[in-house]
Amino acid sequence: MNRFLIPLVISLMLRLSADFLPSVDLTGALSSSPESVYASINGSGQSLVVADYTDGSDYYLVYSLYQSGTWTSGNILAPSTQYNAGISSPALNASGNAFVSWVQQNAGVFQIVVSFFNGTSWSTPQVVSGAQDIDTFAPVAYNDAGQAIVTWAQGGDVYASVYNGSSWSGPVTVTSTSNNYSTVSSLNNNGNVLLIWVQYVSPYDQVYYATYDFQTDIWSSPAALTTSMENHYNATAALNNSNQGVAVWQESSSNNSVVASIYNGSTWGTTTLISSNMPTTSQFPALALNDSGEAVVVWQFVPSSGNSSTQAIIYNSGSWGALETISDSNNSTNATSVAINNLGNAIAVWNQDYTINTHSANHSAHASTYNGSSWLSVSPTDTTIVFTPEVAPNTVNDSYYSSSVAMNNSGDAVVAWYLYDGTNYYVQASTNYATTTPLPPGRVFGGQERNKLPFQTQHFNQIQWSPSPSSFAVGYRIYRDGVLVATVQSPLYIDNSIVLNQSYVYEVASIDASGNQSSSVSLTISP
Amino acid sequence: MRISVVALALLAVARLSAFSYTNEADEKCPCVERGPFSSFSVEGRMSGLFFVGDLMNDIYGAGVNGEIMGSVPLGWGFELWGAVDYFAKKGHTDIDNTATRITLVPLTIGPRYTYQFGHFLPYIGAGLKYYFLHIHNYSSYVIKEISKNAPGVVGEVGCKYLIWDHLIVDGFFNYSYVHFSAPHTSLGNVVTTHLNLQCWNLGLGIGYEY
Repeated sequence: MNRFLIPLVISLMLRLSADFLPSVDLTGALSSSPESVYASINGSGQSLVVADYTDGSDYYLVYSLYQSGTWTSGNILAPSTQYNAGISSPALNASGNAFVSWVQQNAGVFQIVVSFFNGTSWSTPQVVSGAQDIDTFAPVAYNDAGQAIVTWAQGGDVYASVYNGSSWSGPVTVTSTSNNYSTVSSLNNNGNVLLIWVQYVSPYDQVYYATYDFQTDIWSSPAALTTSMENHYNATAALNNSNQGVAVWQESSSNNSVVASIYNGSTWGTTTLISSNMPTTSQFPALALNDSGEAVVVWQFVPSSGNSSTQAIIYNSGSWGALETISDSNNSTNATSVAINNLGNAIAVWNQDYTINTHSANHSAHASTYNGSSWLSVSPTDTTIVFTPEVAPNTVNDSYYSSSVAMNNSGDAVVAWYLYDGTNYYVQASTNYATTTPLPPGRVFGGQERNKLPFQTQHFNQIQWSPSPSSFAVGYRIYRDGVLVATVQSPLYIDNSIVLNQSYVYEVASIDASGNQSSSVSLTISP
Repeated sequence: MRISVVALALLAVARLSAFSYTNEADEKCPCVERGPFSSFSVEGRMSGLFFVGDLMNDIYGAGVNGEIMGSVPLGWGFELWGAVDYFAKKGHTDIDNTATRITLVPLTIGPRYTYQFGHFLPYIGAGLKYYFLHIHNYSSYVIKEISKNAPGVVGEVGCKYLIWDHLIVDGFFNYSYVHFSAPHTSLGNVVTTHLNLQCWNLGLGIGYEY
């Protein structure tokens, strides 16, 4: 294949759609602002969004599960007057199971609590951090093998608790050197963990890391990733299924910049400045890494003067690409989140100030997609995705916050945020794959029937099926011996055009309003 | 069929011209002047028609049968009776709810024997029927129109009551049977069969006896 065909073939393989559907309210009106909103997705197109909020007296941990075109919602934990907040991003695996973790105050002690989602309901919350006050904690990480890990800082030490598929271990000390905080762990499907955190080594904050292997149950000795005479913080890391890793953090002298290092499974490469340097500020980096070793990092860029914007950079084939500004510079941006899949598609979301007539300083939710070679254009015309609904000027008072994005290897993406309309708060989400094919119908059954009349008996084949669980399925296509014979809305088909003593193979597939068709379920009817 | 109708007409004319006297039985009942056994009569009769057999019952159920009947005396209590019936009913099949309509027009001729107890004239008879049958099925997946005709038989018992002078009322029960051969079809999903149609009627009539 020549070098001109390769990009063409790759681009044809890409499925990431920039066409997001209208947002869906997941919670209804909330009286107070959610503290966190996170989205996750697995390879089957199941999406899980979690959020936490309080109405002033009770704390709520809520979730919405999107599967087969339908969002279902509920509480993870029964509303409780006991402090429950700081919920983590849900770790959703290929089986549709998930963990979330959060902080619970129990008798004045802050502990880490996890709950397991079995695809239908959430388990009774379980304390995994022990009886001590925690300082900071990392979101629970969960892999397709059913292993999970939570890490936290407690009294300046770093601890971990691991889940082997059936039970959580007690807290394990990763380092007891004190002055540690802000742990971030990444777990791959092979049971390898990459953990980084920040340690204050007077007079600067430095980034440290350690690794853990579920197979050997061995933690590596903690080691420093940074030693320069600057402060380092907002560190994050990712580890892929090839055991390649990336870590990024902010480095601060007079201004902030974003620095990265590549992990090859055993050693780290040299640190690389990937953002602009002084006098500008680049901060709050978000990182995503795929199994090919491609990484994307986005952050908020604050120029010396003017509006902040969202910048991004791609790591591919052993080197960092060109720095790009993926938001327009008309209004300030903040709060970025990013995802990349194994096809090299990426999506970044952020919140951006906007002004509509007299209403100013509101926030809208934006996204840009990377198709493997370029981001959506912001110049000369801004083609980034804006989730702000179209409303009449002078009436809008909506602000969007805490955008979170997740994407699977098929390019299915989900973006979640919360909306403040001036009175209430709403957790909302949008997907780019509602036009995905509906699920097929359930069991197909039937047989040959006889309609007896005077002088004659009419033979016909009657098939019925359990409706598709996809709420957006609008009908069914019926194929007989591979040929489309009917499209029906109700789960019943009668074939009067049969010949006696002949067998027929029927296939039934669900379709959505756009004609997208599910896989089919077949039934052979013999005389 | 045509011969039967002509014979019925001839017998009626012969009976009208031949019986001009009064028999002994009539003399015992001065209120009604009767022939030796009976007189020429015409009747309109309505009956409930009930199919025998699950298929016809399930599809059409019972219906109302209309009939015009006439009789002429043959002597010694015997008379020749003839009738034309009309029955039409719409129904639906159980399985596919296919709508279907049946129309039956049988012609009947046969002898019957009548006895007199005062005003009551019980009778028993048998006859040959010739059926004209038409079925219309409201479906494109079966034979839509079926027209058949075939001979059948009927047996009947009943009792007339002389209400006033020549006016009679008639209560009756009969059972009939006819066999229709299977129609032909080129439809690949249809199997045809013959039809043995059996039904019974229970009804009332009102008539005039000359």
